[in-house]
Parts: sequence; structure tokens; C-alpha cells
Amino acid sequence: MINILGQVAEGQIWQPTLTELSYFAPELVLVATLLLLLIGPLIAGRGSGATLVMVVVGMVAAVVANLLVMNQVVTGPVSGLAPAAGHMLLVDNFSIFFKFFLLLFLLGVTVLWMVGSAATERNAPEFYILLLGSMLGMSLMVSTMNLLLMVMAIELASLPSYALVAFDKRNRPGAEAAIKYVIFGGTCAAIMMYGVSLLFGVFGTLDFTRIAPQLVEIFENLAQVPASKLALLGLALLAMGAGIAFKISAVPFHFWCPDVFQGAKIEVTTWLSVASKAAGLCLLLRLLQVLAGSAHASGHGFSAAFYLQVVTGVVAVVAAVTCLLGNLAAYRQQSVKRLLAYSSIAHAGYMLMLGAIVLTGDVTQLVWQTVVIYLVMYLLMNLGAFGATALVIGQTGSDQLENFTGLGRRAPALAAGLAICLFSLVGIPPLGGFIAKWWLLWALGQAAMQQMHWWLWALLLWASFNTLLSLFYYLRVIRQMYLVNDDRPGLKVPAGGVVLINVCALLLLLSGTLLVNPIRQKVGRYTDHIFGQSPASIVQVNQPQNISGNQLDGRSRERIDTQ
Amino acid sequence: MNFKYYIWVILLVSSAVLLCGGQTALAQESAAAAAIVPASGPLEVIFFWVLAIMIIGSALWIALTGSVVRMAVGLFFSFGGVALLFFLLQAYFLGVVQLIVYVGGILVLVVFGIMLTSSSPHVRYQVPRMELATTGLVSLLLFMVLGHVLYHAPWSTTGPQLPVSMNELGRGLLTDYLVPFELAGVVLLVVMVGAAYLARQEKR
Amino acid sequence: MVDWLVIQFHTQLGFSIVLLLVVIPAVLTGVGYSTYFERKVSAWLQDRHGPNRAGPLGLLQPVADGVKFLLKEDFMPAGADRPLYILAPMLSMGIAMLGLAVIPWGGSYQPAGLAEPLQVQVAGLDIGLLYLLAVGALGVYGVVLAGWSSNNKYAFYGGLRAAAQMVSYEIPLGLSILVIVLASGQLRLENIVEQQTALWWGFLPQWNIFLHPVSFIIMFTCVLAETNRAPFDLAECEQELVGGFHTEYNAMKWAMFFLGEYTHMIVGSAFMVCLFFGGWHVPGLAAEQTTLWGVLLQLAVMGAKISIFIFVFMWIRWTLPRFRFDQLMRLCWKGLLPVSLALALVVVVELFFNVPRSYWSLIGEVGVVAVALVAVSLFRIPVTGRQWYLPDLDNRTPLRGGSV
Repeated sequence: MINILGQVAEGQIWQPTLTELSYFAPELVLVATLLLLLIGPLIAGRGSGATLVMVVVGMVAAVVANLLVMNQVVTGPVSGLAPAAGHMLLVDNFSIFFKFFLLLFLLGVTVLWMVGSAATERNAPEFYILLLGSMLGMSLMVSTMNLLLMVMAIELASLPSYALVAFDKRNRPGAEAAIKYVIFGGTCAAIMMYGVSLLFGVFGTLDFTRIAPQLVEIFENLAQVPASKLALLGLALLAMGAGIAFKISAVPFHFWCPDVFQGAKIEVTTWLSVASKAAGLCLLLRLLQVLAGSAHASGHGFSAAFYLQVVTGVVAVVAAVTCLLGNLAAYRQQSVKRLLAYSSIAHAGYMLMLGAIVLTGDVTQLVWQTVVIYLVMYLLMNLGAFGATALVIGQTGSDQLENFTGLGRRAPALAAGLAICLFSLVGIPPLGGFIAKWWLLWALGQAAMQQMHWWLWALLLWASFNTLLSLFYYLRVIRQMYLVNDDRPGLKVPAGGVVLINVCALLLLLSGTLLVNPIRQKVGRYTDHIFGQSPASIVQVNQPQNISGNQLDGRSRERIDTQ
Repeated sequence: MNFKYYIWVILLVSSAVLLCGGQTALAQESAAAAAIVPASGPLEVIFFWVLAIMIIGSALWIALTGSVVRMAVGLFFSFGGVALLFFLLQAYFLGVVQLIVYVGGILVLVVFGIMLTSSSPHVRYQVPRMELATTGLVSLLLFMVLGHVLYHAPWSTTGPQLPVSMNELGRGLLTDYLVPFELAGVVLLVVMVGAAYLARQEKR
Repeated sequence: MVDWLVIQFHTQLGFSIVLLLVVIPAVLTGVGYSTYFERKVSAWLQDRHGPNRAGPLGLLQPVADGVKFLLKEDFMPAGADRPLYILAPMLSMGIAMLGLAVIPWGGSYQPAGLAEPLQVQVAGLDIGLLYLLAVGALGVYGVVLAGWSSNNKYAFYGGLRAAAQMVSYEIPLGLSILVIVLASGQLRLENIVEQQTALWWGFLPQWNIFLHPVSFIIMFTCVLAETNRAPFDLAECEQELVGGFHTEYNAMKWAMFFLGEYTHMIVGSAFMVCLFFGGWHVPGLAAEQTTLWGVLLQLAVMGAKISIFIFVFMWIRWTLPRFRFDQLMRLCWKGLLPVSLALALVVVVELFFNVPRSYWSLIGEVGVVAVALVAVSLFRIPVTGRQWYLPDLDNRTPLRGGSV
């Protein structure tokens, strides 16, 4: 008979140790919060208040767990929970940053929800279960180097989002948007999985740390590698790119974005506009980084590898087109939600430019720093802008631009906060958005200087040109608020919402002025020792537990290594 | 006279059973002789082509037929063919999972959904000719690209040796693939909550 | 290719082919006589004679029926979906027969000249049990497609009911099988059978029924539901739906549904015999017999056990009244599912303490049932669907002309 306990004790069956589990405490806390939200309402009732308490408890616990983990992994990335399959789960400084980022954003969305719909919401536990589920998926997207887990994390991030979009069951446009989102998302996920299966077919492994050495080999003898293999690789990357582009809503896959943003509840829109895009972007950067690192480790850098240049070209073109399309389409919008949706498409384009230059390999540190800064600023700007829109919707019942008429007089504090956030979205100094864009242009410039490729300069110019383009449609909103006069009555907006928006505005203002230097120093903290900057660093990840004495795992590892 | 249906069924079942039996017998023998199963024994080649035609034919039927239930039936044969293909490749577990999950689970729900929602049993979907032409062209192009690349591709031959025993598979799921395995549980839980919420009738 | 076949013929593959050629006709004959048996049993239970005209004791009745089915006019209702209408009975019968492949009929046979014994089983799959489960799950298609393609409201409702019922009962079925899988650590049916051939105290065979009686009851219930037998035959209940999914079928096509149903019954019975009643194990004989006579004896014992199950199926059908559809669903989702989940959990705990297949299993199973009974009686959980258990009676709409 099988003696499970005995086999565990003798080490014949691997099981995670407490230390190993402790590295993934934030994720575990999130899962625990999910379960609490499922069981808690049986005792505490389904009211919004009780739910809120549980969510806050979970969030605080997650922050504490994340802080503890942060202190443990100062020396470098840690991976674990998979004895022989490589880097299933990964903790490095960037993934810790990303968890903080998501938690901060969840806090903002929660405040928005409290102000807006908490009073009338009768399904608060379900709302938060879905929200936390997608958050867990997003945080896992950024902390894995395994293609299988990556696909599953994307699914976990997407599936609850579909339900969230349709959350308000009385809202028919929401249901329609959800259907569009599901069909689009399902197709893109299927394409992505096809790409993953092709990658598995080429490399025989799902782990990126095992793919990287094979990539190095490919780049070393690029001339001898059969064209069919490169074509297959390209096909796989293209298919995977489709899945990620859907998450970021980059251009050929952006159609869902405006409809979903308009149809969904505003809290959900806010959540999707930042968190989903950020997770997709970071995942893309991680993948591209491995590609770039492998090319550099092979000694044939960017300029020698024509293949890499093609990939870069594709990413750059997609980024450029995304920017332009987002900015142009935003002009015609009368619905502010839709306008902000197109604005978020444009911003996805800006951030995607970083994906293009990460492949040049020379400025990776700078790219990651830019990502951190850009994401934080983008969070604040979007939270402010969407929050203000939410308040206007809450008071007037619609998000049409004409409802913003004379807001500067009707709700001065709200209008001021919104104006700052919009200016920041354009990138006007001295606001946070300007700092973010400055870092972006700086990184582009650095890459251009080091590679001396004309198209990198073109990309830089393109980003500046698009910034100029975007100025006008943001100004349309501001003009409507301050320069168009009519005699509508004043708005009584909830104080909490105004505080939230003005905190965002204040932070944007500060980060563009007084806090520039502290931010620059702080940002380095989250971007050193990022996993996968080169294949060398991929191999040198600390395994938290020495399991080589384990007989069973030794056997299976041998099987993989001999291949 | 209707003997013919009877005979067809028996032939079909016999061949399917033979496929399983033959495969297992081959596997047992090769394990005993420590030899590699010939990838191109006559039985395998025959069964492969039969299955390939079945899968592709029913997939085409799905695309071209106008009735939704017929599409579901096409899907049934397509999924079933893929499951048998797994059997042919000695990936028994995958084959059975394909049967249980797709054919026995998802497809039944699809059929159920179609039946519950369709207003009349004889609604036909007419695809406009222009649309048919464009989709056909795109599919053909895609097929050519994919077919060319996949046919010439140097596939990695370093995957695990088949057949993988159930023991190995189970241990794999609870050691190396523990995280995805558990995550699948979380995904299902969250999705179940979402589905239950969306399906629940709102009390007024 | 000829060489290759000759080489194969002295081995398992050849034996499998021969066995296949034996098993399929044998089972089909068995099915024919099951219908005869069914009519005799029903007559016996209702104090009648049953078929007694064709041949001695009416034994030639199945033959006469067969000839009649084949020679009858074969018509098709107007507006039927032709290909699906023809396909449905074929699927129904074909899929039911697929399960025969992995049943271990009689242990293993050791001929004189061979080094390795031959399995008396068409295909010894590593995952035989899952295969049976999968093939059982496919059984619904014949019924559903028949209901759809007949272009008949009654048939359509029959198909819908069958789909909902089968999808629901699949889950407790799988869970109750999971109990055995966990406790025995095997997915191969022949190994599960072999495990049960040992004896306790020198005389009592270690059949799983003694360890997991509750799982067996759940599985038996689910098999009844999966095979569309009374009291779960809502897909074809004649008082409400004329004939249900086969309202519009006649002649051989109709007979094929019946062949499918009875084959399904035989496979299901064989499945339960293998999991809970020691398969081909002869009570009193400790070890497996590999001689020719031993194998034949084991085959006979297996056949006898299956026959007993078939008899119980019929007994139940002619004794118990039919469920109402909401009762059927409630029984599955609120009764069987929680209990079988709890049983699986209990087995996991036993596995953790390394005491599966000991008296602890029995204690665990009985304990689960006791807890369930206490919970049902204390909290009045609506499991059975009795009227006074149903919540908020006032909210239901009365039928026209009636009142709640």
C-alpha cells in the first residue's frame, strides 16, 4: 500500500517547504482573501460594509506580506515551487513593485467604488472575488518564466474581467460589451496558446530558462540555422504577440477597448484601463528581454542579428500605429469614457515603444526604470480622470461631454483635479505625466544614440508628435469645463471622490516638481536584479531550497537535462 | 431493408476497439522487448489517415453547414477524432481527457444551449457568398503559410518519451506542475463565482 | 504486412482480435435475451405469464423480434433532419459498445507454449477506468440527436431532459469512482480486480463493496440514471412524452436504441462488478486461475455477477415509481454530489494516515451517511423534493385551473 507520509518524510515525494512558500506569501494572501470573501458573507452578511472590511484586511495583509518578501529578496530573484521544472514562480524586485502597484490601484478603485456604487450594490462579495481574481492573475503574469503558467495567468486575469464587464445586469450595453470582450479575448487566447504550443514544439520545454540557452545557440549560428526554424519561431512569436497585444489593446487588437470601456461600470473600466494593460506590457517586456539577453550573450548583438531587428520593427510599427490611431480616434468622441479609452490606447502605444527598444539590449535598465515611472504616473492620471468621470456620471447620469459644461464653476475642486490629470495625460510640465514622458523620450534617445538607427530617432519624433496631437482632444474637455458657459446648477459631488481625485492631482504635481529626485532614487530599488537581463542571470537565480538530494526529482531532472 | 446501419456500427466499433487493443498490445510488446514502437507500422498509417480525414472532414462540415446542431455534430466527430489521434500516439490520458472534457462536457452543454435557445429547429444560417469567398481566401492563405512552415520545421525531439505512465503524470502534476495545477483550481473557482453570479436571477 | 500480422497473431493483439470477435456477438445475443428476460421479470412481478409462444418458454421470442425489426417498413417523419435522424441510433448503439473494450472478462490465460500470459481483455489500457467514464459520457449524444432530429416536441423534450440528466449525474458518478481509484491507487481495471482477490480471515473476499458500500450505492444510482433506466427514465417516460426521444423511430433504428440501452446496462454492470464485486473473482478461490478451465470458470462467474445486476435493474424498474424532474435534479445536486464529495474527502484523509482499504473506510463511509442524515433531519434540507421540504411555497405559480 502507498504510504504517503512515509514517502514525504523520506524525501521521495517533493513537497514545498515553509521557506519556499513564504516567498509567495502575497499570492497566497490573495487566494486566502478570495476564500474569505466566499465564506465570510455566510457569517457577516452580504452587505457592502462587511465586504469592504474583508477586502481591506486582505489588502493590508498582502501589503505586509509583500514588504516581508521584499526584505528577503534584496539580493536577487528567487524562484521556486517547482522542483525540476525551472522557474515556475518567480520573485524579483520588479514583480514586488508590480504587486505594490496593483494593490495601490486596488485601493484607488475601492475608494472609487465606495464613493460611487457601494451604497446600492447588492453583490459586493462577487464583485470583489472577481476583481481579486483578475488581480491575482495579473500579478502572476508578471512573476513567471513558464509559458504554461503564463497562459493560465492570462486566463485568470481575463476570465473574471469578462464577468466584471457584464456585472451590472440591468445594463444592456454592458452585456453587449462583455460578449464582444469574451469573443475577442477567447480568440486571442486561442491564438496565443497556439503560439505557445509551437514554441514547445521548437524547444521541447515550456520554461524560459531552458529556452534561453537554445536561443543563444540559435543566435550564435544564425547563418546556419535553417530558415524554416526561424520562420516557425517567428510564427510562434507572432501568435503569442497577438494574445499580449489583446491585453494591451495594441492596434490590430484594440477593437474591444472602446466598447468595453464604455459599456462597463466605471470602476471596472478604471481597473481594466490600467491594471490589465500594465500586466500585459510587463509580460511582453519580460519575454522580449529574454530574447534580447540571449542575442547579447551569443556575442552577436542587436545590430548583427537581422532577426531581432525584424521583431523590433514589428513592435515599433505596432507601437507607432497604436499611438496614432488612439490619438486620432479620440477626437471624434462625445462620450468621455470612450475618449479616455482611446487615450489609453494611445498610452499603450507609448509604452509599447519601450518594448521596441528593449530588444536593442543596451538600455534595459533604463527601460525598466521608465516602465516603473510611467506605470505609476499612468495609474495616478487615469485614476484621477476616470474618477472624475465617475463622479460626473454619478451626478448627471451620463458621460457625454456636454455634461462637463461649466464644471469649473459647478464643481471647482473636481474640475481642477480633472484638469491637472488631463494635462498630465498630455505630458505638460511640471506634472507627473511630463516626467513619465521625459523618461520615455530619454530612453528612446539613449537607444537611438547607442544604436544609431534612423528609425529609433523617427520613433522618438513620432512620440513627440503624438504628444502634440493628443493635446487637442484633452483640451476639448478642459475647454468644455472652463470656457463654455451656461447656467446649469452646481453639482454636489461626494467629498470622498473629490479627495481621491485631488490626491491624485497633488501627487502628480509633486512628482513633477519636488519629488523628481526622490523618485529617481527610489526607482532604482525596484529595477536592479531584474530577472532575465541576460541568459547568465537567468541561470543564476537562487533556488530557495536545495533539492538535489531528492531521488525522484533527480531522476526527472536528469531526464530533462540529457535532452 | 436496413441491415446496413447495423453493419456500419459494428464495423466502426470494431475498428475503434481494435485501435485501442492493437496499440496497447504493441506498447506492451515493445516494453517487453525494450524496443521503440515503429512510428509507421501499417496499422498506424491506416488509422492515421482515416482519423485525419475524419477530423478535417467534420471540421469542414462545421464550417460549411447551415444548421447549428449539425455543426455541433461535426464538432463531436472532430473532437472524437482528435481523441483517437491521441490514442494512436499512445497519449491515452490526453485522449480520455479530450473525450471527457470536450466531447462529454463542453459539447453537451453547447448542444443543450443550442436547443434551449433556438426558436425553431430548422433555422439555417446563410453565409453571404462574398463573406464565404473572403474567409475562404484568408483561410487558404493561412493554411498555406502554416502548412509550409510547419511541414518544413525542424521539430524538437526532446519531449518526454511516450507513453507516460499515470504514476509519472500524477507526480508531475503535484511536484513540477503544482503551481499551474493549483492555479487551475483558483481559475475555476473564480470563474464559477462569475458564472453563478451572471446566471442567478436577480430578486426584485 | 502479412509477415507482421502473422507475428502478431500469436500474441496479445491476435488474441484481442479473436476475443473481440467473440465478445461483440456474445454481448449482442445477451442483449437480445435481456429483452426477453425483462419481459419475463416484469410478468413475474405483475403476476402474468410473459412471452411464451415462440419456442419453448418463449425462448425464441428475441429471434422473432429481430426478424420483425429487420423486415418492418422503415419510414422517416416529414421535416426530420435526415442525416442526424439516421446517425442518432447508430451513435447510441456504437458508443455503448465501445465500453466493452476495457472490461477484464476473465483474468489472464496462460497457454502452454507462451512465455507471457494473455489478458482476457480486448485492450488493457493504462487508464481503463477513465476510458469507461469517458465513453459513458458520450452516451447522451444518441438520445439528444434523436430528440432534435425527429422534429417532434415530445422527442425534443426527451432529448433535453436526457442531456441535463446525464451531465448532472456524471459528476457524482465520477466522484464515487474516484473513491475507489484513490483507495486502490489504480486506474487499470484488471489491477483493481486483482486487488480484490485477497481474502480476509481466510474466507471473506476483499471486495470493495465491504469497504465502500455508500460509494457503491451512489454509483449504482448514477449508473441507473446514465443508462436512462427507471426510476430515472424521464427521457422516454410514456405518460408525459409518449415515447420521449424515440417517439418517431421504428423498425431497426428503434431497435438500435434498445440494443444501445441494454449494452450500456451490461457495460455499466460489468463496470460495477469490477469495481465493487471483485470482477471475475470466484468467491472461495484465493488466487487467479490461468488454466483454460479456470479462465472459463471466471468468465462464467463474471457473467453471473453481471446477470444479477441486470436482474436488479429490472426489479427496480418494475417496482419503483418514476422521479419528477425537479426531484431528479435535486437528488443529484443536493444529495448525491455533497455526499460523494465528502466520501472522496474521507478517503483522502484515510490515505494521508495510510489506512485505505481497512475498516476505517467502512467507518468513514457510515459516518458520512450518519452526518448527512442528521443534517437532513435537523435542518430540513430539501434533498428528496418532498412537498413539505420545498422552500417558499407561495412563490410557485399554480397550474391553470388548479391551486398550490
